[in-house]
Amino acid sequence: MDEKKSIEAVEGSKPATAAAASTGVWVRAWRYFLPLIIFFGLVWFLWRGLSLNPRDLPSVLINKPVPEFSLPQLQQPDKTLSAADMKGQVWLLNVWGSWCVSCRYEHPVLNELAQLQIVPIIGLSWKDKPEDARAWLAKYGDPYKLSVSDIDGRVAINFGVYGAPETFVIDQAGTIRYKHTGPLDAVAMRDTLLPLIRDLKKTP
Amino acid sequence: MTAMTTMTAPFKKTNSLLGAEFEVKMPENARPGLSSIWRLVLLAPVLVGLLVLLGRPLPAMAEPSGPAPTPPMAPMSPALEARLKQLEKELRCLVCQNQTLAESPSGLAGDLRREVRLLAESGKSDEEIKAHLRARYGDFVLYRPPLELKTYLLWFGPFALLLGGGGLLWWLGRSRRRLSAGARAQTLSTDEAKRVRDLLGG
Repeated sequence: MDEKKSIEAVEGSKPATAAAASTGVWVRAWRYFLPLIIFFGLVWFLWRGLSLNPRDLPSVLINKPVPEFSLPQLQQPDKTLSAADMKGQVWLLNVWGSWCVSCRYEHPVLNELAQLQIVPIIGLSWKDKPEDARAWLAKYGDPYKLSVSDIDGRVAINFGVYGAPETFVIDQAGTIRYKHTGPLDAVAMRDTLLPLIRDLKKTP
Repeated sequence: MTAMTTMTAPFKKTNSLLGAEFEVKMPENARPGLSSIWRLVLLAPVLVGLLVLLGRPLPAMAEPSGPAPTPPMAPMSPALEARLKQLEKELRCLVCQNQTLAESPSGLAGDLRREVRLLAESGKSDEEIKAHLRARYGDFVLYRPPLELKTYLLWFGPFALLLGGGGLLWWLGRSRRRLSAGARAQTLSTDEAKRVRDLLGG
Protein backbone atom coordinates (compact mmCIF):
# COMPACT_ATOMS: atom_id res chain seq x y z
CA MET A 1 0.00 0.00 0.00
CA ASP A 2 2.63 2.50 1.09
CA GLU A 3 4.83 1.60 -1.84
CA LYS A 4 2.07 2.31 -4.30
CA LYS A 5 1.39 5.64 -2.71
CA SER A 6 4.99 6.74 -3.03
CA ILE A 7 5.22 5.60 -6.63
CA GLU A 8 2.15 7.60 -7.46
CA ALA A 9 3.64 10.58 -5.71
CA VAL A 10 6.75 10.33 -7.86
CA GLU A 11 4.99 9.31 -11.05
CA GLY A 12 2.37 11.94 -11.25
CA SER A 13 4.77 14.52 -9.78
CA LYS A 14 1.76 15.90 -8.01
CA PRO A 15 2.61 18.15 -5.15
CA ALA A 16 3.37 15.53 -2.51
CA THR A 17 1.87 16.13 0.87
CA ALA A 18 4.10 15.99 3.91
CA ALA A 19 2.64 12.63 4.92
CA ALA A 20 3.26 11.08 1.51
CA ALA A 21 6.79 12.43 1.51
CA SER A 22 7.51 10.86 4.86
CA THR A 23 6.14 7.45 3.78
CA GLY A 24 8.27 7.81 0.66
CA VAL A 25 11.32 8.19 2.84
CA TRP A 26 10.40 5.06 4.72
CA VAL A 27 9.77 3.09 1.57
CA ARG A 28 13.08 4.23 0.17
CA ALA A 29 14.86 3.33 3.40
CA TRP A 30 13.13 -0.05 3.34
CA ARG A 31 14.39 -0.67 -0.14
CA TYR A 32 17.94 -0.08 1.01
CA PHE A 33 17.58 -2.18 4.12
CA LEU A 34 15.79 -5.14 2.60
CA PRO A 35 18.92 -6.51 0.88
CA LEU A 36 20.81 -6.00 4.13
CA ILE A 37 18.19 -7.95 6.03
CA ILE A 38 18.25 -10.73 3.44
CA PHE A 39 22.03 -10.73 3.65
CA PHE A 40 22.02 -11.15 7.41
CA GLY A 41 19.41 -13.87 7.12
CA LEU A 42 21.69 -15.76 4.77
CA VAL A 43 24.67 -15.19 7.04
CA TRP A 44 22.70 -16.60 9.94
CA PHE A 45 21.77 -19.75 8.03
CA LEU A 46 25.29 -20.29 6.69
CA TRP A 47 26.80 -19.62 10.10
CA ARG A 48 24.51 -22.19 11.65
CA GLY A 49 25.41 -24.61 8.90
CA LEU A 50 29.03 -24.37 9.95
CA SER A 51 28.33 -25.89 13.34
CA LEU A 52 25.97 -28.61 12.12
CA ASN A 53 27.43 -32.03 11.62
CA PRO A 54 26.13 -33.60 8.39
CA ARG A 55 27.08 -37.00 9.76
CA ASP A 56 24.76 -36.59 12.70
CA LEU A 57 21.88 -38.33 11.04
CA PRO A 58 18.83 -38.98 13.15
CA SER A 59 18.20 -42.68 13.53
CA VAL A 60 14.89 -43.91 12.22
CA LEU A 61 15.08 -46.77 14.68
CA ILE A 62 14.37 -44.66 17.74
CA ASN A 63 11.29 -46.06 19.51
CA LYS A 64 11.34 -49.07 17.22
CA PRO A 65 11.95 -52.62 18.41
CA VAL A 66 15.57 -53.70 18.40
CA PRO A 67 16.37 -55.66 15.21
CA GLU A 68 16.41 -59.38 15.85
CA PHE A 69 19.84 -60.95 15.65
CA SER A 70 21.65 -64.06 16.76
CA LEU A 71 25.43 -63.87 16.60
CA PRO A 72 28.36 -65.90 17.91
CA GLN A 73 29.93 -64.53 21.03
CA LEU A 74 33.40 -63.11 20.64
CA GLN A 75 34.99 -64.92 23.58
CA GLN A 76 33.06 -68.17 23.15
CA PRO A 77 32.24 -68.49 19.44
CA ASP A 78 30.32 -71.71 19.99
CA LYS A 79 27.72 -69.78 21.98
CA THR A 80 25.37 -67.22 20.52
CA LEU A 81 23.54 -64.20 21.84
CA SER A 82 20.27 -62.92 20.48
CA ALA A 83 18.38 -59.69 21.08
CA ALA A 84 15.68 -61.69 22.85
CA ASP A 85 18.21 -62.81 25.48
CA MET A 86 18.48 -59.23 26.69
CA LYS A 87 14.76 -58.72 27.22
CA GLY A 88 13.72 -57.45 30.62
CA GLN A 89 16.69 -55.19 31.23
CA VAL A 90 17.98 -51.85 30.07
CA TRP A 91 21.13 -52.42 28.04
CA LEU A 92 23.57 -50.70 25.76
CA LEU A 93 24.73 -51.93 22.40
CA ASN A 94 28.11 -50.49 21.45
CA VAL A 95 29.34 -50.93 17.89
CA TRP A 96 33.10 -51.14 17.77
CA GLY A 97 36.07 -52.56 15.93
CA SER A 98 39.75 -53.00 16.65
CA TRP A 99 40.40 -51.12 13.39
CA CYS A 100 38.39 -48.15 14.60
CA VAL A 101 40.44 -45.25 15.92
CA SER A 102 37.57 -43.39 17.58
CA CYS A 103 36.65 -46.55 19.47
CA ARG A 104 39.96 -46.39 21.27
CA TYR A 105 39.20 -42.81 22.15
CA GLU A 106 35.86 -43.70 23.72
CA HIS A 107 37.08 -46.91 25.34
CA PRO A 108 38.10 -45.42 28.72
CA VAL A 109 34.61 -43.96 29.08
CA LEU A 110 33.08 -47.39 28.52
CA ASN A 111 35.51 -48.97 30.96
CA GLU A 112 34.47 -46.47 33.58
CA LEU A 113 30.77 -47.06 32.89
CA ALA A 114 31.30 -50.80 33.24
CA GLN A 115 32.86 -50.28 36.66
CA LEU A 116 29.72 -48.47 37.82
CA GLN A 117 27.76 -51.63 37.05
CA ILE A 118 24.50 -49.86 36.31
CA VAL A 119 23.88 -51.21 32.85
CA PRO A 120 25.18 -54.15 30.85
CA ILE A 121 27.08 -53.16 27.72
CA ILE A 122 26.94 -55.53 24.79
CA GLY A 123 29.65 -55.05 22.20
CA LEU A 124 28.96 -55.53 18.52
CA SER A 125 32.35 -56.37 17.07
CA TRP A 126 31.76 -54.93 13.61
CA LYS A 127 33.58 -56.32 10.58
CA ASP A 128 36.54 -57.38 12.59
CA LYS A 129 38.62 -60.52 12.80
CA PRO A 130 37.69 -62.20 16.11
CA GLU A 131 41.35 -62.72 17.02
CA ASP A 132 42.08 -59.00 16.44
CA ALA A 133 39.05 -58.03 18.50
CA ARG A 134 40.04 -60.32 21.38
CA ALA A 135 43.63 -59.01 21.37
CA TRP A 136 42.32 -55.44 21.40
CA LEU A 137 40.13 -56.11 24.43
CA ALA A 138 42.99 -57.84 26.23
CA LYS A 139 45.13 -54.76 25.65
CA TYR A 140 42.70 -51.95 26.43
CA GLY A 141 40.30 -53.63 28.85
CA ASP A 142 36.95 -55.31 28.31
CA PRO A 143 33.96 -53.23 29.42
CA TYR A 144 31.48 -55.57 27.75
CA LYS A 145 29.26 -58.06 29.46
CA LEU A 146 29.97 -59.84 26.25
CA SER A 147 30.67 -59.00 22.64
CA VAL A 148 29.21 -60.61 19.57
CA SER A 149 30.97 -60.92 16.23
CA ASP A 150 29.26 -59.37 13.26
CA ILE A 151 31.97 -60.34 10.83
CA ASP A 152 30.18 -59.59 7.58
CA GLY A 153 28.38 -56.52 8.99
CA ARG A 154 24.86 -57.60 8.07
CA VAL A 155 23.44 -57.16 11.55
CA ALA A 156 24.95 -53.69 11.70
CA ILE A 157 23.01 -52.81 8.56
CA ASN A 158 19.81 -53.80 10.34
CA PHE A 159 20.77 -51.35 13.07
CA GLY A 160 21.36 -48.62 10.50
CA VAL A 161 25.00 -48.38 11.50
CA TYR A 162 27.12 -46.27 9.22
CA GLY A 163 30.26 -45.84 11.24
CA ALA A 164 31.86 -47.01 14.45
CA PRO A 165 31.52 -46.22 17.24
CA GLU A 166 27.78 -46.02 17.70
CA THR A 167 25.90 -46.70 20.91
CA PHE A 168 22.25 -47.69 21.29
CA VAL A 169 20.25 -47.50 24.50
CA ILE A 170 17.63 -50.25 24.60
CA ASP A 171 14.90 -50.55 27.22
CA GLN A 172 13.40 -53.54 29.02
CA ALA A 173 10.81 -54.11 26.31
CA GLY A 174 13.52 -54.26 23.65
CA THR A 175 12.78 -50.83 22.23
CA ILE A 176 15.62 -48.63 21.02
CA ARG A 177 15.35 -45.41 22.96
CA TYR A 178 18.45 -43.51 21.96
CA LYS A 179 21.39 -43.65 19.60
CA HIS A 180 24.68 -41.91 20.11
CA THR A 181 26.76 -41.51 16.97
CA GLY A 182 30.50 -41.18 17.36
CA PRO A 183 32.69 -41.65 20.40
CA LEU A 184 31.04 -41.33 23.79
CA ASP A 185 32.64 -38.81 26.10
CA ALA A 186 32.17 -37.93 29.74
CA VAL A 187 29.82 -35.06 28.89
CA ALA A 188 27.48 -37.17 26.73
CA MET A 189 27.55 -39.80 29.45
CA ARG A 190 26.74 -37.43 32.27
CA ASP A 191 24.20 -35.25 30.45
CA THR A 192 22.39 -37.71 28.22
CA LEU A 193 23.06 -41.39 28.64
CA LEU A 194 23.15 -41.77 32.41
CA PRO A 195 19.98 -39.70 33.05
CA LEU A 196 18.18 -41.65 30.31
CA ILE A 197 19.30 -44.99 31.71
CA ARG A 198 18.22 -43.92 35.19
CA ASP A 199 14.77 -42.92 33.90
CA LEU A 200 14.36 -46.12 31.92
CA LYS A 201 15.28 -48.26 34.89
CA LYS A 202 12.75 -46.44 37.06
CA THR A 203 9.85 -47.23 34.72
CA PRO A 204 9.68 -50.97 34.18
CA MET B 1 58.19 -21.06 -30.18
CA THR B 2 55.09 -21.70 -32.20
CA ALA B 3 53.92 -23.96 -29.47
CA MET B 4 54.44 -21.16 -26.97
CA THR B 5 52.40 -18.67 -28.93
CA THR B 6 49.54 -21.05 -29.41
CA MET B 7 49.66 -21.77 -25.73
CA THR B 8 49.50 -18.16 -24.63
CA ALA B 9 47.33 -16.82 -27.41
CA PRO B 10 43.96 -17.44 -25.76
CA PHE B 11 45.07 -15.70 -22.59
CA LYS B 12 46.37 -12.72 -24.48
CA LYS B 13 43.17 -12.51 -26.38
CA THR B 14 41.14 -12.49 -23.20
CA ASN B 15 43.43 -9.92 -21.66
CA SER B 16 43.35 -7.63 -24.64
CA LEU B 17 39.60 -7.98 -24.76
CA LEU B 18 39.32 -7.04 -21.12
CA GLY B 19 41.76 -4.20 -21.59
CA ALA B 20 39.86 -2.89 -24.57
CA GLU B 21 36.71 -3.18 -22.57
CA PHE B 22 38.06 -0.84 -19.95
CA GLU B 23 39.81 1.52 -22.33
CA VAL B 24 36.88 2.08 -24.64
CA LYS B 25 35.29 5.43 -24.04
CA MET B 26 31.59 4.97 -23.77
CA PRO B 27 29.63 7.22 -26.09
CA GLU B 28 27.45 9.53 -24.08
CA ASN B 29 24.21 7.98 -25.30
CA ALA B 30 25.42 4.43 -24.72
CA ARG B 31 23.06 2.34 -22.68
CA PRO B 32 24.45 1.83 -19.23
CA GLY B 33 24.61 -1.78 -18.10
CA LEU B 34 26.03 -3.05 -21.36
CA SER B 35 29.55 -3.14 -19.95
CA SER B 36 28.52 -5.17 -16.95
CA ILE B 37 26.77 -7.67 -19.21
CA TRP B 38 29.95 -7.95 -21.26
CA ARG B 39 31.97 -8.46 -18.17
CA LEU B 40 29.63 -11.30 -17.18
CA VAL B 41 29.96 -12.86 -20.62
CA LEU B 42 33.72 -12.70 -20.32
CA LEU B 43 33.71 -14.10 -16.81
CA ALA B 44 31.34 -16.94 -17.63
CA PRO B 45 34.04 -19.37 -18.85
CA VAL B 46 36.02 -18.71 -15.68
CA LEU B 47 32.99 -19.34 -13.50
CA VAL B 48 32.07 -22.48 -15.39
CA GLY B 49 35.65 -23.69 -15.03
CA LEU B 50 35.57 -23.06 -11.31
CA LEU B 51 32.28 -24.90 -10.94
CA VAL B 52 33.61 -27.87 -12.85
CA LEU B 53 36.71 -27.87 -10.67
CA LEU B 54 34.75 -27.66 -7.43
CA GLY B 55 32.16 -30.17 -8.60
CA ARG B 56 34.67 -32.95 -9.04
CA PRO B 57 34.08 -35.68 -6.51
CA LEU B 58 36.61 -35.46 -3.73
CA PRO B 59 38.78 -38.49 -3.11
CA ALA B 60 36.82 -40.83 -0.88
CA MET B 61 37.41 -40.46 2.80
CA ALA B 62 39.65 -43.24 3.93
CA GLU B 63 38.57 -45.25 6.90
CA PRO B 64 41.76 -45.50 8.95
CA SER B 65 43.18 -48.98 8.62
CA GLY B 66 39.57 -49.91 7.90
CA PRO B 67 37.25 -52.77 8.65
CA ALA B 68 37.34 -56.00 6.74
CA PRO B 69 36.47 -55.39 3.10
CA THR B 70 33.31 -56.88 1.72
CA PRO B 71 34.28 -60.29 0.37
CA PRO B 72 33.85 -60.63 -3.38
CA MET B 73 30.72 -62.41 -4.51
CA ALA B 74 30.01 -64.79 -7.34
CA PRO B 75 29.52 -63.13 -10.71
CA MET B 76 25.92 -62.30 -11.51
CA SER B 77 23.83 -62.28 -14.63
CA PRO B 78 24.12 -59.18 -16.85
CA ALA B 79 20.43 -58.48 -16.37
CA LEU B 80 20.74 -58.43 -12.58
CA GLU B 81 23.90 -56.38 -12.81
CA ALA B 82 22.18 -53.77 -14.97
CA ARG B 83 19.22 -53.66 -12.61
CA LEU B 84 21.42 -53.26 -9.52
CA LYS B 85 23.53 -50.55 -11.20
CA GLN B 86 20.36 -48.57 -11.81
CA LEU B 87 19.11 -49.14 -8.28
CA GLU B 88 22.42 -48.24 -6.68
CA LYS B 89 22.33 -44.88 -8.41
CA GLU B 90 19.21 -44.11 -6.42
CA LEU B 91 20.83 -44.93 -3.10
CA ARG B 92 23.24 -42.81 -1.13
CA CYS B 93 26.46 -43.95 0.41
CA LEU B 94 26.14 -42.85 4.02
CA VAL B 95 29.84 -42.49 4.67
CA CYS B 96 30.81 -40.34 1.70
CA GLN B 97 27.56 -38.54 1.56
CA ASN B 98 27.76 -37.03 -1.89
CA GLN B 99 28.25 -40.30 -3.66
CA THR B 100 25.79 -42.92 -4.69
CA LEU B 101 26.15 -46.53 -3.66
CA ALA B 102 27.15 -47.30 -7.21
CA GLU B 103 30.21 -45.09 -7.22
CA SER B 104 31.41 -45.16 -3.62
CA PRO B 105 34.51 -47.13 -2.76
CA SER B 106 33.83 -47.08 1.00
CA GLY B 107 33.48 -50.23 3.01
CA LEU B 108 29.92 -49.56 4.08
CA ALA B 109 28.89 -48.93 0.48
CA GLY B 110 30.34 -52.32 -0.42
CA ASP B 111 28.30 -53.92 2.34
CA LEU B 112 25.17 -52.12 1.26
CA ARG B 113 25.70 -53.13 -2.36
CA ARG B 114 25.94 -56.71 -1.18
CA GLU B 115 22.78 -56.22 0.88
CA VAL B 116 20.97 -54.82 -2.15
CA ARG B 117 22.10 -57.75 -4.24
CA LEU B 118 21.08 -60.33 -1.64
CA LEU B 119 17.67 -58.71 -1.36
CA ALA B 120 17.29 -58.63 -5.13
CA GLU B 121 18.29 -62.27 -5.37
CA SER B 122 15.72 -63.18 -2.76
CA GLY B 123 13.08 -61.80 -5.11
CA LYS B 124 12.50 -58.34 -3.67
CA SER B 125 11.39 -55.58 -6.00
CA ASP B 126 13.29 -52.31 -6.35
CA GLU B 127 10.69 -50.53 -4.25
CA GLU B 128 10.89 -53.18 -1.53
CA ILE B 129 14.67 -52.91 -1.45
CA LYS B 130 14.47 -49.14 -1.12
CA ALA B 131 11.90 -49.48 1.65
CA HIS B 132 14.14 -52.01 3.40
CA LEU B 133 17.08 -49.62 3.48
CA ARG B 134 14.88 -46.65 4.29
CA ALA B 135 13.56 -48.45 7.37
CA ARG B 136 17.16 -48.74 8.60
CA TYR B 137 18.89 -45.62 7.37
CA GLY B 138 16.03 -43.17 6.91
CA ASP B 139 15.12 -40.97 3.97
CA PHE B 140 18.73 -39.92 3.71
CA VAL B 141 19.65 -43.16 2.01
CA LEU B 142 17.48 -42.20 -0.95
CA TYR B 143 19.11 -39.91 -3.42
CA ARG B 144 15.70 -38.61 -4.43
CA PRO B 145 13.94 -37.63 -1.22
CA PRO B 146 10.26 -38.60 -1.05
CA LEU B 147 7.75 -35.84 -1.70
CA GLU B 148 6.29 -35.05 1.72
CA LEU B 149 5.18 -32.00 3.62
CA LYS B 150 8.62 -31.53 5.14
CA THR B 151 10.41 -31.86 1.80
CA TYR B 152 8.20 -29.41 -0.11
CA LEU B 153 10.76 -26.67 0.43
CA LEU B 154 13.47 -28.95 -0.91
CA TRP B 155 11.50 -29.87 -4.02
CA PHE B 156 9.79 -26.60 -4.79
CA GLY B 157 12.10 -24.06 -3.14
CA PRO B 158 14.25 -23.52 -6.24
CA PHE B 159 11.20 -22.98 -8.44
CA ALA B 160 9.69 -20.64 -5.87
CA LEU B 161 12.94 -18.66 -5.85
CA LEU B 162 12.96 -18.55 -9.64
CA LEU B 163 9.35 -17.36 -9.76
CA GLY B 164 9.96 -14.84 -6.99
CA GLY B 165 13.06 -13.48 -8.70
CA GLY B 166 11.30 -13.30 -12.06
CA GLY B 167 8.33 -11.58 -10.44
CA LEU B 168 10.60 -9.07 -8.76
CA LEU B 169 12.37 -8.31 -12.06
CA TRP B 170 9.05 -7.89 -13.84
CA TRP B 171 7.75 -5.61 -11.10
CA LEU B 172 10.88 -3.46 -11.10
CA GLY B 173 10.77 -3.22 -14.89
CA ARG B 174 7.13 -2.27 -14.85
CA SER B 175 7.54 0.48 -12.28
CA ARG B 176 10.52 1.82 -14.21
CA ARG B 177 8.58 1.80 -17.48
CA ARG B 178 5.71 3.54 -15.78
CA LEU B 179 8.04 6.19 -14.42
CA SER B 180 9.54 6.98 -17.80
CA ALA B 181 6.13 6.84 -19.47
CA GLY B 182 4.88 9.32 -16.88
CA ALA B 183 7.80 11.61 -17.57
CA ARG B 184 7.24 11.46 -21.33
CA ALA B 185 3.55 12.01 -21.01
CA GLN B 186 4.15 15.32 -19.31
CA THR B 187 3.73 17.84 -22.08
CA LEU B 188 3.31 21.55 -21.72
CA SER B 189 -0.08 23.10 -21.87
CA THR B 190 -0.54 25.85 -24.44
CA ASP B 191 -0.34 28.48 -21.70
CA GLU B 192 2.91 27.04 -20.42
CA ALA B 193 4.33 26.78 -23.91
CA LYS B 194 3.51 30.39 -24.48
CA ARG B 195 5.24 31.36 -21.24
CA VAL B 196 8.33 29.40 -22.22
CA ARG B 197 8.43 31.12 -25.60
CA ASP B 198 8.03 34.48 -23.93
CA LEU B 199 10.77 33.77 -21.42
CA LEU B 200 13.14 32.55 -24.09
CA GLY B 201 12.39 35.63 -26.09
CA GLY B 202 11.12 33.58 -29.04
